[in-house]
Amino acid sequence: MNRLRNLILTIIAVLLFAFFLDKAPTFLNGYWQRILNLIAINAILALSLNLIYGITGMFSLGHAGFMAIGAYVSALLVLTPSQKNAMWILEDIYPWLLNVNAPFIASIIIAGLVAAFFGLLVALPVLRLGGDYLGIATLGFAEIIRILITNTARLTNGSLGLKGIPAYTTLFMSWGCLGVVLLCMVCMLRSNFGGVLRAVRDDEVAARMMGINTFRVKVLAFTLGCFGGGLGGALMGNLITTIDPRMFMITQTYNILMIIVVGGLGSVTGSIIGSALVTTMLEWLRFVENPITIGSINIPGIPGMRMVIFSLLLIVVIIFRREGIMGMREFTWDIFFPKSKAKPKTEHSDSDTVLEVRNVVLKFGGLSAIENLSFDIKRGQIMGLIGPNGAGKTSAFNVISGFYKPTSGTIKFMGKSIGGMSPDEVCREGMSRTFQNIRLFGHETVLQNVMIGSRIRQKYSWWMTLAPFIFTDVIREDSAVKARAMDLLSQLGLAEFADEKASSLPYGAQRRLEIARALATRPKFLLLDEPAAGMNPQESEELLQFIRRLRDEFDLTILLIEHDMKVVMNVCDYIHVLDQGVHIADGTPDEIKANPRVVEAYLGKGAA
Amino acid sequence: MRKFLAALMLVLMLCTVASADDDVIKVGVFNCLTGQNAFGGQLELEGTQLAHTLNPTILGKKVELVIVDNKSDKVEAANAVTRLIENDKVNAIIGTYGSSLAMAGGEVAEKAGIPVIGTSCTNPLVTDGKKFYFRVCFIDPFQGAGAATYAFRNLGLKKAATLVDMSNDYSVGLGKFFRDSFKKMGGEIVASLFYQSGDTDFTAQLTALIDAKPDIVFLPAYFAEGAIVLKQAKELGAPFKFIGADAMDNPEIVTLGGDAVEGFMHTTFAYDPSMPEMNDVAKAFTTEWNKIHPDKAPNVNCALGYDCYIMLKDAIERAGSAEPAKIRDALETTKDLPTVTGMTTINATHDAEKDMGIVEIRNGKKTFIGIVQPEV
Repeated sequence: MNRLRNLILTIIAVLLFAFFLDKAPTFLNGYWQRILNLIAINAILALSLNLIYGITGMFSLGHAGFMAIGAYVSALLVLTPSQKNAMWILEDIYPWLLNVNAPFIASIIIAGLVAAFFGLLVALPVLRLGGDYLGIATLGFAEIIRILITNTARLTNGSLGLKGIPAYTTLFMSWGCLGVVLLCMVCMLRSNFGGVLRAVRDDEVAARMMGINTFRVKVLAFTLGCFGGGLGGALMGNLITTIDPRMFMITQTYNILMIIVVGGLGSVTGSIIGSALVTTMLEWLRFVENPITIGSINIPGIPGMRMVIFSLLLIVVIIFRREGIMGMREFTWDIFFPKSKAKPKTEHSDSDTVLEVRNVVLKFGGLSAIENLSFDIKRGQIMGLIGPNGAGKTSAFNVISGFYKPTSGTIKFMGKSIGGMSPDEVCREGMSRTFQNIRLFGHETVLQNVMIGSRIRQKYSWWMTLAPFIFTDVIREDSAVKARAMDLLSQLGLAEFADEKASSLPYGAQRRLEIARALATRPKFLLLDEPAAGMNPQESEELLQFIRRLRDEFDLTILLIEHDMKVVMNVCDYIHVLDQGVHIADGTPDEIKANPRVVEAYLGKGAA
Repeated sequence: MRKFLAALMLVLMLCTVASADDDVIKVGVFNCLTGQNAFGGQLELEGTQLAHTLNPTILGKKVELVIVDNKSDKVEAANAVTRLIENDKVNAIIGTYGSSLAMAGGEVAEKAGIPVIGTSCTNPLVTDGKKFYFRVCFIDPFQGAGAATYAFRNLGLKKAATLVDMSNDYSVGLGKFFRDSFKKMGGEIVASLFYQSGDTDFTAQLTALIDAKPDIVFLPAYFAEGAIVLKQAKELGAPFKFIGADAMDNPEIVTLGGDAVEGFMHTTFAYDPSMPEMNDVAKAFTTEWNKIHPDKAPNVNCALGYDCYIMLKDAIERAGSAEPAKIRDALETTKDLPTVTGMTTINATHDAEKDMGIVEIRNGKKTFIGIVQPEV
């Protein structure tokens, strides 16, 4: 219902805007038309960098390089042989290049594809780095591209640049491209795959435990972003009609970065508002450089003044709205209408020994965190892993869930060896976990957090999300996942929080949400890392009931680390005890309570 | 705070409402007043402003200069020219330093049919195929050939080398035209070396040059880098001479290079304050410049900025009208016009044909040593 209304409103808005563009030449002079064009191009560039930086959280400074690739590819394709002949005055153009030609639309798509290809080449080695390192590596890449263009004169005409590129970038062309980019991006970000991108940004470790191959997702987002960079560069070249390598210096990247920071990192709406604002402000502020007369006072024009004022305005924006104009929010038609709510639905999942740990050793350099650990867990068991601080419990968890590779020993899950698998692979085998320090995707809603957990059980590919109206599987599967997520939430008593931000939940609810998200991956085996941490006695009592219910309702086998002895002794069927990486005891809760070695490990020698 | 800002914005906005006047000739000036090329753009603007102060009316109409900055950036250059044409409705435009900026702006002016006179954009591509773009400077091939001619004919040197900034179109172009011309006359190019803008250590290139034993090295650099090259060459004891081009024509070069620039020569436009025989225009320019800027000597950029205005004034007067199309037609027939940088004639490709001067640094002072006729 709301969907239909929003769709109609969107179509009306698009038609109105198209009408505006069509009539623009009659009431806007060439100057304002040029600015309109620039807004659309800047918006494409900002959206593509936002996909990389704001949404997927990769700090990239290489956008100018990808723009350069796009601009050059497109220009070389649309220039005529005679123009090329006239321009290469220093060195001869490659003969094969002389006659290469393509229509404009094809040229900008090829430009985007070539930029995306280079993006992929860069991403594969570089995205193994993170944070600042990625920024520096991409910055270096952009510089390499620029120097390559300068030095391959036979291909690019070197530092002379290209000129006379036909001005194909009309209002309809630039805004049409922006429309397509925007549509694809909004569709993708609204699908569960979009949630996955944001999840990688918010918490990569947790995302991997949700079965997401985060490296692959990052490479994808980066490559898509580079496509946008190439497309924007191509449109820019065809608007300015002349390009040269010095046009694509780092300041070009800063300009785009400024737009997305002003608009709001991670917000599509923000990128568009940001580019409109920055582009028009820079031009509009030109008047401050002209001589101004206020009454009888004459102020001579000072060149560079508008940059000073512009920078001041930027600082004001950052002081009063650090998160940018839109923050991470998006425009929706719903802001004009009162809110209505949706309602939620159920289903189930199967060897006797679920987990078999044999002689596992984990060493960090000379220090051994786990020495020769062996144990089995039978299906349907709730197994406890206890020990004093630093006993190696969480290390054991990390080895089992794939975050650490065991130095030696074997781990078999459902009869299959998983030692050395990555967390996302382990997750796909049917294992999930929670973390000692809660790791939710804080900026996402409760519902989205759970939906991201279900992504690995969905069949559609990421590219289908660019056009969900053609690949309706996306819509169907997403709504199924949503229904299941709502179901999980109501089973765990979180349904009322579904649309709230995960980070705003009370502590106990966050713990339960983390479990709900783990359950969404449809595990057969669940690892709980200190579920009772920070809970009061009342809450930990509820937790006891909850863990038993989990096993019964979801047909789970559970391994749990816990310090709260009341929880451990009451809920576990069997307990293993570690001390300083060594397995010192195992048995039923009653046996453990009576074991002198355990008491010694916890309370010191004298106590036993 | 916010209210204050809002009020401030409102005041600023009101100030933009300008009054229109029909009896005014509007001349747009777009140049690099900020950004990496500002040192050249500022000097050219001052030259143009000086010419405007001395000739405030043309055909009895008041001339108004509309000045816009292009930030040494291509996108801005195109925006600036569009703004001059569409918002300020200028009759003609003067600018700019930097050929790539001229190309970006030129495309817009071409479409709108507004004549532009380039100050020091020397890349041949700027006016290539353009009906409305002219320039008051000569072009790179001419100047490269000029340096080669002077080295081969006047100095009698047979072995030359080039040291070129790979990332700069001006430098790359001049280097190529110098080599071509020098070889054509019968000389030998013994080495052709490169650096990148922003480099500070040239010892590798200089050592290679010393090994190649040229008689002279052509250095089409900007003055800041050029001065460093000359300094390092002196430290390494390089035995050969250096010759540069007009981008080295800046009084700063002596300050930066000290005694290392002694004996350095460069080609330039046929104007220098040290010239023994100046034409009347140059004399007037030098006197007036020194009145306004007693603390800095004029250089070629100031002269070229000045000449653009002179050339435009001449065209408007000959056309008898400030209509853009008529100005264009008159500009095309500019012949033997006395300007600061010598007699200016516009050729078929809209480039200025004029004499080329040679300057040498003697006793720490720029000294004009003669005029050369390049063998192109």
